Amino acid sequence: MEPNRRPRVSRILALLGGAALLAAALLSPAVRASDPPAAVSAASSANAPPAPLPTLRGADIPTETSKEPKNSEWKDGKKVQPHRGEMKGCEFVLLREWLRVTCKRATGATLVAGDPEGVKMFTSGRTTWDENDLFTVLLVTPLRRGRSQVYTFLDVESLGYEGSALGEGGAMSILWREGQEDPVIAASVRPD
Amino acid sequence: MARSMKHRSLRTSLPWVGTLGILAAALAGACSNKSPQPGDGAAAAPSSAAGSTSPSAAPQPKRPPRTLQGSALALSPDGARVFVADEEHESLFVLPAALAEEPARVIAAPGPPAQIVALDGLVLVTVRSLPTDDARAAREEIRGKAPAPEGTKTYAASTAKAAPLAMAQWSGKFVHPKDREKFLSGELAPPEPQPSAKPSAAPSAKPGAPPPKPKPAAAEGGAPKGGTPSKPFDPNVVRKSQGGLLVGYRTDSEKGLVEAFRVPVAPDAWGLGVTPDGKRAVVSSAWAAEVSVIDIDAAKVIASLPVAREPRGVAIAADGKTAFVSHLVGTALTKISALDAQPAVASVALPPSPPRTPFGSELGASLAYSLVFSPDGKSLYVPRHAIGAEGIGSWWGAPVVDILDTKTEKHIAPKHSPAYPATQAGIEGWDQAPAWMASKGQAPGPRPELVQPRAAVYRKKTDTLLIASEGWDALTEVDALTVDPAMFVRKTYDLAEAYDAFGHFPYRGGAPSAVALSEDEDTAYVYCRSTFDVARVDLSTGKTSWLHLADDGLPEDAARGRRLFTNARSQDLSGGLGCAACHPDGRDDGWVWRESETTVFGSKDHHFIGVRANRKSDRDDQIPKDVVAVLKEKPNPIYPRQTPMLAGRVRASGPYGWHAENANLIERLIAGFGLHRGGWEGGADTTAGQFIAKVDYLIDYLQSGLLPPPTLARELTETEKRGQAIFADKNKANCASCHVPEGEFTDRAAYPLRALPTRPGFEEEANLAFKTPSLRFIAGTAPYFHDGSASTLEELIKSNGNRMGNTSGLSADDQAALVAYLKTL
Repeated sequence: MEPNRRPRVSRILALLGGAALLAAALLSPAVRASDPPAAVSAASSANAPPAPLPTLRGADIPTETSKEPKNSEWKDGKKVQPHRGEMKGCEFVLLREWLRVTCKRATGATLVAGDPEGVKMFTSGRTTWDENDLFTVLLVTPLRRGRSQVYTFLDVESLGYEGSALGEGGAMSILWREGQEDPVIAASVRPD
Repeated sequence: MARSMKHRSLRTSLPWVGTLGILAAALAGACSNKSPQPGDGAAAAPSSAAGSTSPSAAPQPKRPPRTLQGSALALSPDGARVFVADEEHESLFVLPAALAEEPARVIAAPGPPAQIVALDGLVLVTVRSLPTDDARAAREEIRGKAPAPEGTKTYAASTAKAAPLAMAQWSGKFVHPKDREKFLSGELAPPEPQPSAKPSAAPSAKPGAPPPKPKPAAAEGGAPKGGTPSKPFDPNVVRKSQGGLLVGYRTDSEKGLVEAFRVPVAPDAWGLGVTPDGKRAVVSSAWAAEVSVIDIDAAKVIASLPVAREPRGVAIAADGKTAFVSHLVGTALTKISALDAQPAVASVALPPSPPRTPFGSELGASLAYSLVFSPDGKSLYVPRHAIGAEGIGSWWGAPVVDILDTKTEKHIAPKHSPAYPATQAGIEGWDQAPAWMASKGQAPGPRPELVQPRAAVYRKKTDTLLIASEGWDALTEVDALTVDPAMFVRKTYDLAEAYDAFGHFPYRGGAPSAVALSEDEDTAYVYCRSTFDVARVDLSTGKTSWLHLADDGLPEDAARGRRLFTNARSQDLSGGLGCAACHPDGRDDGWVWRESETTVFGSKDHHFIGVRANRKSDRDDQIPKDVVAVLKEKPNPIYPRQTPMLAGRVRASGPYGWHAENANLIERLIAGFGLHRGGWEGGADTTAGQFIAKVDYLIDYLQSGLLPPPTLARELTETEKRGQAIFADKNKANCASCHVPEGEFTDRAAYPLRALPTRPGFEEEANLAFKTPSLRFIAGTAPYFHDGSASTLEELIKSNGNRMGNTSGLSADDQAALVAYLKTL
């Protein structure tokens, strides 16, 4: 072995190792939306839970606009979850820049505020209430940079002796300000 | 050979030495204090105003403060101490961070302290008033014994989790307030209800007729003075002030705090902010409507800036050059720029809650006690009331968190439109749900656990805001990364947990008013000012430890009234708001409410609503359809009724009400509860049960404990004296014939006056006889008249003509002199 090769290699390794450690010590964590306390759930089961669905990143959403997907196209969409909070019974699917939210058990929805361009919503079901055959609310909206929206969802509320009526279910906020890299979708359910 | 061996060993070991050296350097860098990041509120080391370090000792690096924003509760930079400003006892407390193991220290303040910023070695405190000697004596009489360290006590730890409120239902039977203990223990079998006439709701005074004489309380069948006798104070004495102060204290291991300097500012000094370099402080003087910029080193005011009514919270941007100030009334913020040079003031429009604004309406706003930057400084969060905001079940509005984009200075939230897409299940038989329930198109209902937001901090690790919810006796955590955080409550820490079943006042944790976070943001400290407690809340478990600072010095019934005044949870008193919601600090919210006959819970009565569009929030669709047809032809008129100020204005026995329709304060409170949708069923006996005890407690507090704002005690200027003469002169303005000086500037009689032009959104008044209002404190209660149609006193006098007295013959100078005099009252 040439006498000069070993020292050079070991020197390089030492420098690289030190640099790696230094980088690890000094790099601050990336700033991103953190989950609020209520959204974090610990996996306590001995069985590994299913991998959580991804959240939306701005990089996933094309800047070009496209036509609203046809029903048959949605199967190619990507299932995602809200960044913050949860709405049980609701599924979120992203296809191109379009977001579809499907909520079982909800009895209605409203775009409370924000640009209504491209927003559509439907409630399926009959005209009678059946606990075993719930309604489904479907909402479709394009996600656009610089556009924020607020939605409310309806549920069923008991009026005691007076029967039942539509009640407040929950709310959803889509916050995507100018210059904000990623949208933030936050959901909440009205407490009992 | 030896040299070459040595050389070889060096060449072998150097890389390892180098690696170890790099590692050591990396570890050292990771363990050192981080430098402050923009927007996190931490400061570089501030310079001290009066140096106290020994010249021979090397100066120690200063720890950055936890926050540069004032609050009634602050943590020391090292997290070891908690400082509390107890305004009611006019004292400062220095507590150990664990709230135990060490005695508290109590420092008498020169007057009522409001907010604290704790720098390293220097604690700055705003003091609302330096009272005159006679005012000080009167205030000491009111607040009772000065607190002492031995007066503090710990309560058992609790778990501050959201819990259903347990309050006994209103009994419907009369129980004397002095028998409260017996009632609660079950000893007392309440007698049968006494047949007494229900107090009439808003009877009209006939034009020109003298007002009804106030009847003695006993004849009303209620409100005998139970418990301890009240001690009404003289507001004209207690208000007297030598000005407000910014006081600088040095921390002291033995005494807690030692005063180092005072800077005089305008009276009612309240809000406080400090620039990141520690060189400048910004103080808001609420009643005086002034903001002072102070050079801390020089202990001197460098700018006094007039601003809009009731400036309160101060938030200073990370660059130290710009401050934003929130206001208790009104929708706009105040921006102060060039803090490091020649400070200048500008108004920044922030219309409340665009998502909740009914189409075509403008909302009001109130209760913006605080505002806080996001860590990156791009957003400014302003928790407050949006008066008139829509929402399922809303009649007055909603608590909101308005977010200002600091770059564009615009609200980040988009607007609401009723034409937006909506969908709803069409279930047979369910389409007759009351309007107050959910229906398509409505914004989420207002969250009761946020009502009367009093203070807020940003919790970086979770991107949430922790809001001290005064009316709900809770600490509420909301999601900051939403269009309106107030719609997304993540967690509620219910501090009071238990209420008196008889009187509905909290036993502890009443009126949370200040919040501070530990360095790791896992612990929150909350000051509860109606019960004088400090709560230390573990935010992950809700486990809460307590320190009670001092007992209330007011007589017992007045102390209970203090707790009720802020409380929004008793449905006897209102439909979801405490008195302090519209009468913050006993003042007014600057809003003109709509009074109309509406149907709530099947009962038709006079109620307030925030804006005209809120009327649909009542249960009108429960009225039979034939009645609806009649109502649609003749909709119930809506009249304007401005919120009156209470503090220092309710000494008289009566009458009360805009038309002098209520003979005394008891009747007025009962009518008021109805107007605010207090929830007893229609037709019930409102003089009975626990209800009348609450009236008693509140009246005692209003007359014995609710102090008016401080005003400068001084001689009248020549101009003001001229105005006084004009005021009294029968041949000039002749104001004094109705605004009788000896009677608090009112004869309390109702006179029919020439009608004011009907304001848009309201109907013509059916009754033109309005009671002469008191002129006390009118300098700070704009706008004026029952309908708020006069924005300033100058405008009022100028447009009066001979409607009230006669100001039509006054020259411009005389008018100015009259206004100058009115502002001294």
